[in-house]
Amino acid sequence: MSSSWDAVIIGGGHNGLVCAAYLARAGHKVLVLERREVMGGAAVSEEVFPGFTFSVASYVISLFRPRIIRELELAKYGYQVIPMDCAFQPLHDQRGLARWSDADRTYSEISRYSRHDAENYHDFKRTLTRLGRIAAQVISRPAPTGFSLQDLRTHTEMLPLIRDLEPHELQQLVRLLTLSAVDFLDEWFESDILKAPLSASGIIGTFQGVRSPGTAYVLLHHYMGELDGAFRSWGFARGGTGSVSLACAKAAQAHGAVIRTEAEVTQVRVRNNRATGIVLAGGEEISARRIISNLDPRRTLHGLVGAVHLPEDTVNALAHFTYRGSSGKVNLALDGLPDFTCRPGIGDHLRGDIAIAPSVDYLEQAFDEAKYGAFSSRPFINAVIPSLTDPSIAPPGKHVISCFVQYAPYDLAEGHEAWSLQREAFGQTVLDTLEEFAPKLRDHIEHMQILTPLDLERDFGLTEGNIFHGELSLNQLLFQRPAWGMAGYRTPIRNLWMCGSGTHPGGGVMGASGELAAKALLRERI
Amino acid sequence: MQNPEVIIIGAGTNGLAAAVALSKAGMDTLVLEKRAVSGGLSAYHRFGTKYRIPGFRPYPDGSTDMLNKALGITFPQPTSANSTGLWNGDSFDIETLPELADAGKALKTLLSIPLKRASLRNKMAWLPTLLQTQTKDLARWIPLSCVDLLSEFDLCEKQYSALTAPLYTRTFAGPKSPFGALQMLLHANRNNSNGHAVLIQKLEAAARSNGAVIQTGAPVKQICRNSSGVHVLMQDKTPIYARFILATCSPAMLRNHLLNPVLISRWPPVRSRGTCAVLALAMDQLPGWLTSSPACCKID
Amino acid sequence: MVPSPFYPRQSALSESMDWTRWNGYYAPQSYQLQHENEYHTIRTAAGLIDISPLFKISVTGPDSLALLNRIVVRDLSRLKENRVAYVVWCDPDGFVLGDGVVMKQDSETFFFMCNDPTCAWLQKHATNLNLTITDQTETIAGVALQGPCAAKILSHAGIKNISDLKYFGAMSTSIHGSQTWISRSGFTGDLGYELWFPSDQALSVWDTLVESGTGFGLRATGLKALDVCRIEAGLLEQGVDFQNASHMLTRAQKSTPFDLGLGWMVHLDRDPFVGQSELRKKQNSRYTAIGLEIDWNQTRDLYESRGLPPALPVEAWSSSVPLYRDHARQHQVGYATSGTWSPILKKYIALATIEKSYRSDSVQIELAVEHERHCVDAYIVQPPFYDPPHKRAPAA
Ligand SMILES: Cc1cc2nc3c(=O)[nH]c(=O)nc-3n(C[C@H](O)[C@H](O)[C@H](O)COP(=O)(O)OP(=O)(O)OC[C@H]3O[C@@H](n4cnc5c(N)ncnc54)[C@H](O)[C@@H]3O)c2cc1C
Ligand SMILES: Cc1cc2nc3c(=O)[nH]c(=O)nc-3n(C[C@H](O)[C@H](O)[C@H](O)COP(=O)(O)OP(=O)(O)OC[C@H]3O[C@@H](n4cnc5c(N)ncnc54)[C@H](O)[C@@H]3O)c2cc1C
Repeated sequence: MSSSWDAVIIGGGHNGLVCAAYLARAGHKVLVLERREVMGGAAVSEEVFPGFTFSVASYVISLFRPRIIRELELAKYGYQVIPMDCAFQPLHDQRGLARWSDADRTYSEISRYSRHDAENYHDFKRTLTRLGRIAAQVISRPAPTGFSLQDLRTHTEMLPLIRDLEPHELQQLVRLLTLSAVDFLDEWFESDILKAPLSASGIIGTFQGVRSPGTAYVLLHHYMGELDGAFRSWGFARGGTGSVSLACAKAAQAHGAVIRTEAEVTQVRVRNNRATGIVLAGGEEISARRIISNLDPRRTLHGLVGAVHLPEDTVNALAHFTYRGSSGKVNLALDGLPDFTCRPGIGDHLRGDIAIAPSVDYLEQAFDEAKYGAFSSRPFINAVIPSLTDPSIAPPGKHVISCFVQYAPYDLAEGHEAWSLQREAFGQTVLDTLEEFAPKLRDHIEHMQILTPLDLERDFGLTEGNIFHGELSLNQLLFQRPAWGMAGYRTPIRNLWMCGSGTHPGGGVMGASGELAAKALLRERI
Repeated sequence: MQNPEVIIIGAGTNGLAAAVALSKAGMDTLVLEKRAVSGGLSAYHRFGTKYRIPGFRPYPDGSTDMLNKALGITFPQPTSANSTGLWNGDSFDIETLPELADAGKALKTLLSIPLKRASLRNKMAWLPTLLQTQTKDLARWIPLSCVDLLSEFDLCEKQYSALTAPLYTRTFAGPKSPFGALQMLLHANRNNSNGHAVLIQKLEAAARSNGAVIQTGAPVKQICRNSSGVHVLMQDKTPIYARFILATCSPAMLRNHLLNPVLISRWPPVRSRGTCAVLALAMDQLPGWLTSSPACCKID
Repeated sequence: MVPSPFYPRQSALSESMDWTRWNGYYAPQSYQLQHENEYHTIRTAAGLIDISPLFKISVTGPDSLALLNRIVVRDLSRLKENRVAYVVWCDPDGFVLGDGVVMKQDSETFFFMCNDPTCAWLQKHATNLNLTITDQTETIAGVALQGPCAAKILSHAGIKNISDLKYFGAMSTSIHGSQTWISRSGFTGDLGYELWFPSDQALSVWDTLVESGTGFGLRATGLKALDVCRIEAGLLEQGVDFQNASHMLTRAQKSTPFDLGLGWMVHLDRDPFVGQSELRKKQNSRYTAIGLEIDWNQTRDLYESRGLPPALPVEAWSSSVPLYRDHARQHQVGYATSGTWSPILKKYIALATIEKSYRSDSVQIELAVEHERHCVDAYIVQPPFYDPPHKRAPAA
């Protein structure tokens, strides 16, 4: 039987959609099947309460690959990201610390705490920007999987970049890969107040503390983001993160791809080690020449294919691939703005990223509790108020706060099922923590949405609630994501491919996995 | 005394080993040691009136061979395969996990290839190791924590802690800290032996017999350079000139005390964070559990 | 130099202290240290821009239409009441003297806004006509409210029927008790309005707008943000993309409406107007105005080869940059007059003038990277670059 589809993509996350758009653009007949009623997966906007649109999960954009924006003409389909100007860290003192995109302003802010740090900050940014360029090159290419022609190209292209580095920078690169965020920052800065928010970016989505080795390299992510062609940090997608996914979906549809929502795939049909089609929850079967999964490796191979069809070492490798979700999310609909004690009033400091990370010890202590199976009683919170920048997502004068909360370990001491009992307490903990810095926040709350790691698993299909489809630790990156030998977006099952964040280069709303998977497929001349 | 060709600062294990090698090669060698005894951290530490703490236990394997070959020093062979842990009366060591031991060996071979063009070009040395070994396992294991690494093997929790404790305790990290596995692999097989002090004595004797001069109680105050060349300044400001100066003290000591910081641009940041202390007990006899254990080690 | 009627509010907001001069007024380049947020405010919420420095002339009387029609190249007899029109006017040789907007307030009253002083020019052609020309530059203040939320803000400010106002429509209303003329027009290519009211009421109108707009993300925005927007919208700026012919010394410095791609506006078959006969002859102009999209990959590669991330002009530039037919830079075919990185289109765009006879879809534009001059491809496109449906659509 000849199948009607060239490619069926399981999952309409942004990676699946990017992949679909590339394949459709190349003239293939593509079908995307999404379990939920909305597109986007973890990069989704939903009007959870009337008038209030939440970026339910992912909330800021930085890493989305500019090449994809151009090649798929996403600007035409509504991709619009507004850069954030400020990173504000409320403290229990008179001012708190705000870092701005304007260097002079940042200098004067930091020098209130340490002149030494204020001076070094510039050099720090410069060094990381230089190193970030390498990292940006790495994530825009397929990971080398061996000695294929493609790999040789990758190597030769990377060589000049490395050669360009001065020896001490190379040394910094090695240190970045192995040190803890705090150890790395200690070399540059003396004030805890500055180190805390910087190091916090090293722990996002991992089950590590700021003093755990290996967390430093995530700092790079903040300097390889490219917004508007300039290396810059983060921004809000207009209309919520979901609009990025929607732009990808529109691009895919414009090229003829078909997208079906509320279509849960329950099985990938495998015959003779070859994937032939999929089965939907209702029993409907769809055959296709290629099947591409946007789900994480465990869901794809264990869940949809089944261990019986897989070689032993794949099963082993999958078992060693760790998830260990460690974060949750609290979204608030407010009828006013929070008023921070240290910097009262409504100012530009509220328009950017607000980090509850008063000190390094605060962050490490938050991790301590998680190690023993409890959510942090004073967690690290990364809050943003996108409605200040993008009024379209809340009724006039009202606001949306999105709080990313860490640590919320998937495996509670009482087992992960216990999350359903602890959800409310978790939400209150977040509010208590915020109110320490912005009293009476509760008076403004109209609605509240709490997402525990268990919710992320159940509602979004993120295994163990890991926001990145598997931890981003060095042993699960590059040619080892998701496992040695599978980094080329293929699986041991012929015609079954993967394009989600569980593949190189990993999680975050960057679309790179989807793009690279599609390009790998196209090289095969499907 | 005439100016020596090379001055070695510190008569620890490394200082003495260097002294042996250089004096054997015919160089005029002077070792300057701050303390009254040589041996540095491996020296016997005396306490009470009658007791000494011997040098510390294990030596990474290979080093005895190396010393044998290079310096012609015969080092006491391992007295027993010391056990790292006890479990149900049975001893076991990391060596009971052959995959780890293999990976560890490979890692050490790879690390010992000096990063020089010549040695890289000599593929015979490293390529086979690289290809033979489980690069795959190494790449995956190195970033893991001790516990994550061991969880890939069929062990029970008590065994975990027995295996990991001696390794991570030397660093500022816990059993679940990433990269602990690296330490573990490096130590995955070793020949244990007792008594560094024996080694120190042997090294010192070998150095002297080759004509090296070892001065104890001679703290170096500063390392300098002027138009007449490099030299060290002793406490009383007397300079000793030499063609080479080899410092074996810690990098922090070098930077903070011995060198003029202006001379060093971009000093590699090296962290030193002490994490352990030693408790030595002088006892009138061995406790019962130690003598009755099958894994009892011979006491030096 | 004089402060604008909004100066008290502007100076309180100005964090950057970055002012420029505009027709003798102090005008904020940006309020914040960087203009970028202000740009995004215009594109996502709404920006409040002081346009009081424009020259404002009111022409009233039975002959006002006759006068204006004698001056401008466009046939204003087709302009209905409560409508505005974009116009240019020429010298007798057919070279553009200026551009502006004419609002027809009633059959005998026109309100004329332009960037260069034009009163004398009007007076000069008004002999024997029954009308009065009043320079209202100092008595009337103006703000532009530009951005997708603009209509909502005005409706919040009490102008309920604002959603009935069509693109290029105008209406008279009152804001906070001040008599105000509103036209749905602007210099940003977005949904937007321009409001005109007596200068002495300026602060109260400003405050009313700010108050009604806060919930919608309204912010005061400066000229730098406006400049990026107007290039995206493909709008030419006098003094930048073309010059007032009366200030120019040579033929080459002047442009006809045809040179600027404004031929559609020139209605030749009607009663005589200034420049008519010469324009008849100059219809086949040598030049035309175009838009350019500068090749991203080549730009990026140039920077990469220097070990740098691509640096893009986040602020609009406005200097003449030569365009060539070939990489060797032998044959110049035109020049770009202003350009910017467009954050919303993710493209590097420019406005340019090019020889009409040049038939190809790309040219070579000069680009300096690290003090070295290079050439990259630039593709010829028809402006506007950015043209969202809400610019014209009925305002929600
Ligand atoms: C709370 C949270 C906050 C985050 N914050 C940020 C951030 O600020 N910035 C950032 O860059 N990244 C952030 N991330 C990470 C980022 O959102 C994800 O890494 C990224 O969205 C993953 O995209 P994906 O396309 O690979 O997978 P997903 O988005 O997970 O897509 C998988 C899709 O498959 C669907 N699916 C699952 N099972 C089936 C089935 N059986 N049949 C059919 N369809 C199925 C799912 O519904 C989903 O739509 C965050 C993630 C979370 C959870
Ligand atoms: C508690 C403890 C337990 C250990 N356990 C083990 C173990 O079980 N197995 C193992 O293999 N290793 C162990 N080690 C580590 C091992 O002892 C050391 O790594 C090794 O001895 C270092 O030798 P070295 O020659 O490089 O330096 P050192 O031994 O430190 O020698 C440096 C010498 O330089 C001298 N010096 C410093 N400054 C000056 C100056 N300005 N002028 C002149 N002289 C100067 C010092 O006095 C010292 O003698 C242990 C260390 C400690 C502290």
